[in-house]
Amino acid sequence: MKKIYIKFLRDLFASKWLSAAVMLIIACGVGTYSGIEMSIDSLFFTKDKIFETENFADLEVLFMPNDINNLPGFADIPGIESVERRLVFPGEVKLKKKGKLPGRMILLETLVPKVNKLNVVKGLPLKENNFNTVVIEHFLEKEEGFKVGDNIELQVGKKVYNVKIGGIVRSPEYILSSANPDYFLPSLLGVVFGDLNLVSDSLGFTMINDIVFKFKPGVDKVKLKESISSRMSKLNVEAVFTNKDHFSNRFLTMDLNAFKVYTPAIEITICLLVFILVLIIFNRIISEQKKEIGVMLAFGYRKREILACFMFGGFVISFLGVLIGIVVTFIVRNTFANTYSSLLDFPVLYMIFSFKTMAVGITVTLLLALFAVFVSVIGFLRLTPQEIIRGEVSGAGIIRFSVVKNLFMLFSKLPVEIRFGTRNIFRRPGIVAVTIISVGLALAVSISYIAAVGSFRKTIEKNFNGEKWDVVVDFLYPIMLDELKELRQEKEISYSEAFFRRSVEVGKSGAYEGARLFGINPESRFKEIKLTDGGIYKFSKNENEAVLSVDLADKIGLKLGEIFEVRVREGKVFNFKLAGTIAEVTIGQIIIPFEVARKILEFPDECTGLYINSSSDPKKITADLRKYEYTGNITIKQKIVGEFMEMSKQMVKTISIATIMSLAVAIIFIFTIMNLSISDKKGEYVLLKALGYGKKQLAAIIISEALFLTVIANIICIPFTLFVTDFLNLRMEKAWFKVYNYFEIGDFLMVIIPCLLLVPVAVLYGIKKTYDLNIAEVLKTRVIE
Amino acid sequence: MKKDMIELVRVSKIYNTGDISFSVLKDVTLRIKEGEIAAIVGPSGSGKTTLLNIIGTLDTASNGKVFIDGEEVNSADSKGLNRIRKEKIGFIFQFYNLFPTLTAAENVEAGLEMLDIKKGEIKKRTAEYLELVGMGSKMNKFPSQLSGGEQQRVAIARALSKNPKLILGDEPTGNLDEATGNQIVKLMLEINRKMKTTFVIVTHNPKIAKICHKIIKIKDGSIQ
Repeated sequence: MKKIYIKFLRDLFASKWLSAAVMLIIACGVGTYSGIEMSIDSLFFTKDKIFETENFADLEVLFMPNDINNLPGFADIPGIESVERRLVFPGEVKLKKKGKLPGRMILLETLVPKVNKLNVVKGLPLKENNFNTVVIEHFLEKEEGFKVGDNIELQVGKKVYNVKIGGIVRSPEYILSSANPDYFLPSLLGVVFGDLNLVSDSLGFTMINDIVFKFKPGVDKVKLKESISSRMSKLNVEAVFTNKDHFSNRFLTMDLNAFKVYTPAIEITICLLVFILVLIIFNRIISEQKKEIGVMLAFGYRKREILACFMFGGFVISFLGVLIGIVVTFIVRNTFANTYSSLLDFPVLYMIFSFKTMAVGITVTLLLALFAVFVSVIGFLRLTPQEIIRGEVSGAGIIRFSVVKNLFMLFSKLPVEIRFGTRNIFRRPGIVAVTIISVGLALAVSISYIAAVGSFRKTIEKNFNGEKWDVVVDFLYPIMLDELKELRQEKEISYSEAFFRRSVEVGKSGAYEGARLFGINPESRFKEIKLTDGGIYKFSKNENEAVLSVDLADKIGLKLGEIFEVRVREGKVFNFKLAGTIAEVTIGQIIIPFEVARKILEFPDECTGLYINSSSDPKKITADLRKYEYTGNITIKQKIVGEFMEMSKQMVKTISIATIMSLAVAIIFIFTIMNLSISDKKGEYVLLKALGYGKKQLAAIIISEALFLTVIANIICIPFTLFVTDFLNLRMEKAWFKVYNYFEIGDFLMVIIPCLLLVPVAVLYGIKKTYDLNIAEVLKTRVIE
Repeated sequence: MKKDMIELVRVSKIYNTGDISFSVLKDVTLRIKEGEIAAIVGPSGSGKTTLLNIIGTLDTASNGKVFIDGEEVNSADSKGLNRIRKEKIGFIFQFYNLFPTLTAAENVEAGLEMLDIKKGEIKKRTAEYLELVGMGSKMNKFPSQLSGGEQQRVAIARALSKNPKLILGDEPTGNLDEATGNQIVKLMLEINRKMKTTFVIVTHNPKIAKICHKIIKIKDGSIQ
């Protein structure tokens, strides 16, 4: 290797902290991008792998309970690997401690199912002729303390089942559970699997309302779904779910995609900061070596050879940063994936290492760093050898603006070391401005993540508060309105409004997507339809108008005013015009007037649920509602809001990793800039030492300079935060639902306070350097220069 | 008859700073023969270093013509100037300007590597020239491990090693005590005698100027 390359390498390693800062920022750049991307990939892979190994159903058809003898056969339909029949009832589980938990009783025809396998964690699987013994989903053990051998009480409608727990299981269906998937929110659900004979015995016949299918590999799933749907058209089908539509799968996919929404902001910011910091550091290294560069030019070295030396040095340092970045990638990936996985209680976590992601992370960061080196060197080499050797009058230390001078007067009462420190930042306005903006940007990303989650929480709170209902009851099957008279007159209920909810298919040109049809009273006192364009939708007299969730409209490719099809049971198709889109928490919805819904679904006198207003204790209303045998899910608004809040807390935990990374980058910046500043002012610090300044005063100067710089960065970060949060919330709207911007002082303080507390740590090395300065040596050097 | 190594014809240098322009060199005309040792002397700010830089092609003249070894440098582009510096000129600086992170030998090698010389030859020449300046035993020392005089010897070896026809020295003894400075001057004289290398030295020291074959006195940018 040429000596001149060796020289540059040795120079870089000689300026330890500058090289360390470059390596660290590059490591952050590589690690943040690759780590976060790989963690999301790992979680997606884990989800799919669990579904694959546990034989998650490809299709589930839910219908109104029917005699097993009335069900069609599927043996002649090619492509089906397994079919299993079940009876699924919503209900309530009586908890060991006081209270009840929304529950689900799943009674199986095949006790050791091949579809949606039951993975026995403790105890024994279900056994023939032992229908009073059940197995429970592990949540009931983990959260509510049920054990093998305990008795468990489950109420379905009016009927109460008291059964013995024979085993604890995990099912792929309930990686994530939801008491009411219509609100698209994971919540604790007491799931109990039992023998179908538990009910059949008392009924005298075998009733079924749910069939799950596993397809053979490589079949046309859409075609197969059509064949199965048409075979079941004579049944009163309530919902047809593909595995993509299943709550567990849909929510996990959406939730992971929502995290993907947040990642570009930190990735772009860190890339920008990598560029700026490398640029600043290399500018510094070059200006420190200007005499040596001049000597090289005098020797006859060409500028491109000098450029090549710096690029080589830059590459070696960046490469070492990349190596550290690979380690950081694993740390970020494992921390992020483990945090998320443990929050969602995944049974297993498969870590993915993607060479492609790693290569992208490394290449982008490396190219940015090398581009920054190139820009620094090329700017310098444009000067003539003479200019390089002589140097230019930089103006450093000259305060030009009278505004700044006036500002100084404000500090005149402060102790001299603080005045010295704070005024220092005005001596290099260019570099200080870049630093303030960079630190401000890094802090803004941190705060924005917290503010975005806060906005998420507040929007949900506000949306639910905007809806005037207190309780929603869903019925096990459609009920005639006349039959509801007694229920609606319960003293706990002050007002109620019926709705009709059912699964349908929505599409155009023969391509359909599963959707949840929601028929509501056009004059509803409970539900306001807030459109994505900001307006409130009022149903027109044209009964063929509908409002769609924005995700559904996007999936189908519908534009406002366009006609689309709604396919209901027995394959009947109705045309509707898209009157508007909504971006609510619940995705995949189509909203039409109550009467229209009943008409097209051929339940002219029925409803499937009630919105209820009540000022009573939700427990009392729940007890009242449970008196009726058709009562299915009971959703209490207060509880659902609480569960959303819990979910946002979990989001904060996961997002805090990205927040910490941004904060770390801000601190690396402060560390670098302060060390540069100290190196620049070596002469002044030794003079101060010569004048008798002690360690305390020197530390005070440095800390006050760093703090002052950080405080300005904290102020600057406010507008950046507003902008980045708005950007994140807009992206969240695209991925899930419309999130309004809400900011709280606490969001800012959560980042600003740790940042200010870390400032003294960031300057510790610099302070030590000033303590170690040898007065005689530095003064001698200064004289020579 | 010896040919001219350096010829300057009515050379001026004007610096512009904002609206103000000031003349550092005014109509300088001079000739230095091959193998001569010339001293440029004059008070501070008289234009000595500017003159040396123009001769060394580190700076360009505003007016006039500059010839180095018979080659006109005014019309050369940066590539051409670079070639002249690489092939014909060696530099010695007041503060030695050795690369602090390279050893004495590596400093000399760094000066040779951009020439079209084989590795073995570089090693050989490095050893030879360090030996010539009396630094053979300290070739693996870093500049910080050497005294000022030793560092300047290495700098001279570095300048000499590429066999330039012309060596320019900006106060080469300015940072050394008298005894060490004398040793350096003796070394330069010896090299001049042995290798017929032309030396142009900017100096404040009248004793050194006296030893030189030619003294160029400069004041307010003009040759006296």
